[in-house]
This record gives sequence, C-alpha cells and structure tokens, in this order.
Amino acid sequence: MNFDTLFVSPAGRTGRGQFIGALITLLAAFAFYHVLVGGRNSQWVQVTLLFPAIVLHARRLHDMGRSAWPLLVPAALIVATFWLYLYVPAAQAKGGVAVAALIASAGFIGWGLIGKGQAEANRFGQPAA
Amino acid sequence: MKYAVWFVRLVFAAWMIPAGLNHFVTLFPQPLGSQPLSQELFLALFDSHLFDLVKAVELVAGIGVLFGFYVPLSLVICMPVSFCVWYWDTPLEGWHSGASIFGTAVLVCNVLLLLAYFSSYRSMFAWRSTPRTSGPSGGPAAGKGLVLAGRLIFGAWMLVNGINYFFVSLYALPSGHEPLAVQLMTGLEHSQLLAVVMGIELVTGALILVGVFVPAALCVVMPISVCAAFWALLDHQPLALILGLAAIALNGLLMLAYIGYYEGVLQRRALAVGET
Repeated sequence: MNFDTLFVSPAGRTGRGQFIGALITLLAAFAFYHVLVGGRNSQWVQVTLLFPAIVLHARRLHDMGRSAWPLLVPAALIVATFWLYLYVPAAQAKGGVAVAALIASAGFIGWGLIGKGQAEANRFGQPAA
Repeated sequence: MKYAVWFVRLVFAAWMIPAGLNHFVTLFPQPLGSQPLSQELFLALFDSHLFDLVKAVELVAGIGVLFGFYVPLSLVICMPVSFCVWYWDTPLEGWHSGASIFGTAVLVCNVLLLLAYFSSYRSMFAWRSTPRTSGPSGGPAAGKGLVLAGRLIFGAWMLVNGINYFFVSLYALPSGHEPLAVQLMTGLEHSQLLAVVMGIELVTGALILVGVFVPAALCVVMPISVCAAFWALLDHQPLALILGLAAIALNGLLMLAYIGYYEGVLQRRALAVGET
C-alpha cells in the first residue's frame, strides 16, 4: 500500500481497512490547515487537498462496485462554498451551500466507512490486497 | 510510519502548489516582508525575476510530490527553495515571528520527506564514486581523464571561491555592473545569504576536489551554479557570463558523468519508507 495507489490513481479499488487509515491521514492534513494555519492561502491549500480526497473516495466506491461519478456532488458543493466565501462574501446562499457540502461530504465519508467491499473481482479490478 | 510520511507529503505538496501558482495567478497576497533585510532581499529577487524561477520550482515540485511524479527529484530541486523560504522567514523576518513558523515547517517537511525517500538517494552518498567511462572518442581512459580534469577544476574553483570569501582575500567579489545585478548581489550580501552560498561552495568544492561524496556534492552545488549563471546573465559582462555558463556547464557535465549514482533520484515512481 502506498501514497500513489491511494491518493493519486483513481483507477482501481481500496478496501475499507486501507481507506480508514488514509482517510484519517487526509483529514488530519485538512484539520492542520483549517485549525492551525487559516487565512486565504490555507483555503487554497484545502481546495488542493480535494484531489487526493476525491481519488481516495473514488477507489473506495469502486471497491463497493459503484461508479465514482456521484462524488462530483460533494466536490462541486465544496468548490461552490469556497468560491462564495472567498469571492462573494455577501451572498445569502453561502451558509446553505456550506451546510449542503458538509452533509454531502459526511455522507460519502460515512458510506466509505460502512459500505462493504465486494469480495470478488468487479469491473474496477481485483479486490484490494 | 507510512501514515506520518503521507501526512507530511500532503501538507507539503498542498502548500507548495498554491504558493507557487500564486506568483503567476494571484490567489492571495504575497508576503513582502516586514523587516528591512527581508524586504530588500524580496525586492532583489522579484525585480531580477529570480523569484519567477523560485515560484516555478515550488509549483513543479508541489505537483510532482502530490501526484507522485518523480517525487525524489521534486524533493531535491525544492530543497534550496525550502531553505531560502526558511532563511527569509526565520533569520530575516525574526526567529520569533509568525512567518518563522511557516518557514520552519516548510524546511522540516522537505527534510523529513527527503529522509523518507532516503533509499532513492543512497547511491548519491557513495564514499568513492567512479564516473561513466564510455567516452565518445578516445575510449574509456580518455573519458575518465576528462572527467577527472573537470572534477579537479570545478572542485578547486568552488573551494577557492569559499577560501577567498572566508579566509584569504585573493580577488574581489563581483558586485555587478547592471542595476539589477547590483541589486541582487547587494541583497544577497546584506542578508548574509551570500555567506551561506560561499559556505556551500567551500564544503562541496573540497569534497569534489578530494573525490569524496562527489555525486551528492555536485547535486548540492547545482542550484548555486544555476543562480551564478542567472546573475551573470543579468550583469551583461562577457567575462562573468563566460564564467557563469562555464560553471553550470561543468557542473552539469560532471553530473552526467556520474549519472549512474542519480538513478534512484530519477525514478518516476518511488516508494517511501514503510510503503509497499
């Protein structure tokens, strides 16, 4: 198990055990910037971290035999939240969009944590070792 | 262990990408420094366009580290930038400044990642190294002789530069003729970054001259050769230009002669400690 497999290549599958360790690491990186750094550059850093987050979840969905396309929903909501807070701070909708992004993200994280991986090979490849 | 490495890698790469991109597409205000020395150095780097190179390195290295593309090489090319970020944020901005925390974090992350990929760098630290000897003409012996001559000339050149700066004044340091070259050299002198450069030249020059840790020493001195050539281009003086280009050419050719020792660094996909 290595970084490139979990966070870089969306093709393939990641089992639940590997997903949990990688997810904790990723959330720790998000938390590091959100809590300890702050500011606009920290916000851009968190947007950058969306890529490994999407890859990690895509591989977990693949392990459950699901397509990764639904991940566009939380990703779009997170980007929209970021955009509104940064460039349209007076927008009324920003609170609602942020809550929706949080709920959608939490939903996918929960699904990844609970969902059972397929024991056999599926269209995304062999089960993770 | 691998989780700690991944955490540092995510923190480092995700910082470098926006930090580098910010120079080319404004994302957030660029810190300009709050102390006279840090402001002077920043302006010198910015006006001379050396800052473009610094930021391009940050961006490319960040992308490499995040996307797993030539990670050991990305970390090596980013190391001089991380050191300068730390130097600017900590000694120049103040050891107890807020910037110091960020500068130290960048340097520590870079060093930790280098250690995590040490297996990729191990061959660079061969005590004694043998250059590739297949010369284009004249056979292996002629090629070996040329490399030896190049190594002795380059090593002595770097060593004498260092001795000249620290111990015995043999010749005057170039101060520049063109305004940008003068500004950059003055910024380097005032910030004492020039002393760091000369210290590196002194140590690496000695190592290259005696033939110990040659591949590593050539790698460490390469960014200095690049900056020297850049400065010579700014100065528009024929002699400085010839010397600057000669330094970078000699450094580069010697690295090519020892290319076998950089195979680990040049791996497209490399594993960190604890990874399988």
